[in-house]
Amino acid sequence: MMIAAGGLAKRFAGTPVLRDVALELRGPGVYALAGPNGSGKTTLMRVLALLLPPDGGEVAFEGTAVRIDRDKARAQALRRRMALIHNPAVMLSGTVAYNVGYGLGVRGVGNAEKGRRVREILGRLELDGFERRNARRLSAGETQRVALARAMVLDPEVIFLDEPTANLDPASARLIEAAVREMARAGKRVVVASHNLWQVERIADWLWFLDDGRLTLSGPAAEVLHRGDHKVWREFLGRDNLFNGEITDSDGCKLFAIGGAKFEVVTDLIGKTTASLDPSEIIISREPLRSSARNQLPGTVESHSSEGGLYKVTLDCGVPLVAAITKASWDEMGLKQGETVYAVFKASAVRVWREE
Amino acid sequence: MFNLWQIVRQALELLASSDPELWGIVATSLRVSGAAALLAAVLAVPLALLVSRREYRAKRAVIGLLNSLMAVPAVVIGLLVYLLFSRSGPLGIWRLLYSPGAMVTAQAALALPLMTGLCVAALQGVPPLAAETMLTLGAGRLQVLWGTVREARFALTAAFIAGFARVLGETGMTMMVGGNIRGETRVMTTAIALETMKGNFELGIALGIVLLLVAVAVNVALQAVQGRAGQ
Repeated sequence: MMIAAGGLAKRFAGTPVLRDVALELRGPGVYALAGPNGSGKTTLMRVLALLLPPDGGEVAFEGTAVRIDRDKARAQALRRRMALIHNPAVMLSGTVAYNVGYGLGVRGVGNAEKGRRVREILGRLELDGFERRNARRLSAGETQRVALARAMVLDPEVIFLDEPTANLDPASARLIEAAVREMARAGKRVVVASHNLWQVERIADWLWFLDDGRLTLSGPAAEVLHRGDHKVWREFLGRDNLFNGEITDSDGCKLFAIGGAKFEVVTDLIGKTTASLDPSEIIISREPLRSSARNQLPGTVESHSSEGGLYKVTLDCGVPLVAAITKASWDEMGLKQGETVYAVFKASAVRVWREE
Repeated sequence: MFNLWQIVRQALELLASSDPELWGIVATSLRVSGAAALLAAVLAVPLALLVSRREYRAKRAVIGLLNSLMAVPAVVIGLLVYLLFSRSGPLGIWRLLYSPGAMVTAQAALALPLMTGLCVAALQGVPPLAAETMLTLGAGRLQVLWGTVREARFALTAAFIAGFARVLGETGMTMMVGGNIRGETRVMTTAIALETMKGNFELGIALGIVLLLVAVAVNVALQAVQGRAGQ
């Protein structure tokens, strides 16, 4: 289903939230809607999903504009081909099975068929045996996975996810990211709102940047993120582990040097480059690890801060390196300031590009 | 001076026997108040949906009006229903005065503001995004309405029970429009009032015990349901 929006405007209590937004969802794939909190991502998705009428502009489906308040029947029929997952997702009162079967129920699917499809989708999201659990008593990660199952079971052509992995444990986050990619491969259009550029880089084919209600960037994700538009990374998240350094070739191994640190990267580039490293790709170890990871930098624990269920630990490895670990890991390791540890990461985890 | 213990013993014996009059009165009571509570609920839920669904300017005024209606004395409602159904009244032609129909009407009118108020509170307790969640899962307008009611089901049941308890214990108004006719419109409260005045205490106390037990049972049910609604 092709969706095209033009001139979208929305105000809440007089404050503009969307200003003249135009975009298109052409082919299947993952469309990331990035931008800082409060930039209008949620509102834009609700307008596109026909849940909220815009104050100006229009949303067209397969070439025909739809107004929620006027074309009620058509809006309803189109909504049935889409799904939107809020953050945090709202569970309807009842069991997990009730929630996941709800959309099938309103479509008149019989109980036997419903039960079968619910079980199947729960299995795919590693939620086997969750049918009879109270949907309001799940952890954040489970809730988000049930919400995804509840949408996926309807096999929608377009699916909107609002910050699907915010405040989730890494395992749930990874599962959701994998499901998003899988849906895109299966020919769906998946729109993911995110303020996490690492995530965008991992999953998105196309990237829109929303800043204060305006679409300031739009293009293929890899191109937008790596065309050296450093500003994107600086302005929004991902300030950690962003380095301007130099790559040298040492017997076929590419070494990136920055400050007093040197680590291996995978690239064809040589010379002055910029490198970035997702904090959650770094393993902190007390002992040197014998592993396939090519980089093992000794350093000392400088400081730590907690952020959304994760701990950000800053290590001094000749250059400040930020590692994100779970609270459980932090508690278990009992790291102390000044302690010597090793930062372990794969050469392929480092993204390298040239500033233009 | 009457012997209290003897009267209580007689009352208990009366309860133990299958006295048709006693249990007939209990049955009429439950039937009339049950019907009244149902009628009030049938009106209260859609009214509450109307009041609570959208944000509009008069919303606070409407809720305020509902709250003030809760304060209308039962006897005034009794008077109005009496006038409505009396021979020369606008609905006199229905000949409902001194019939269970009049009692159900009066009790439903008494319960309606209370129930509507509680239903509004119940529906406002539904997460605001629940309706949008149903919408995005493909629900139509009516399905969303029904789903919203379902979300509030425990709190709505509590509202129903509270309304039922309120009308079950009503005496004066029920007497005014029902007439306390033996075998027809005599209910537990009006029978207790009458038997007490007649000095016929054992039937009064027997009915009092039943009324008390029903009231306690209803309150236990209410607590249980409210406990679930709070989850």
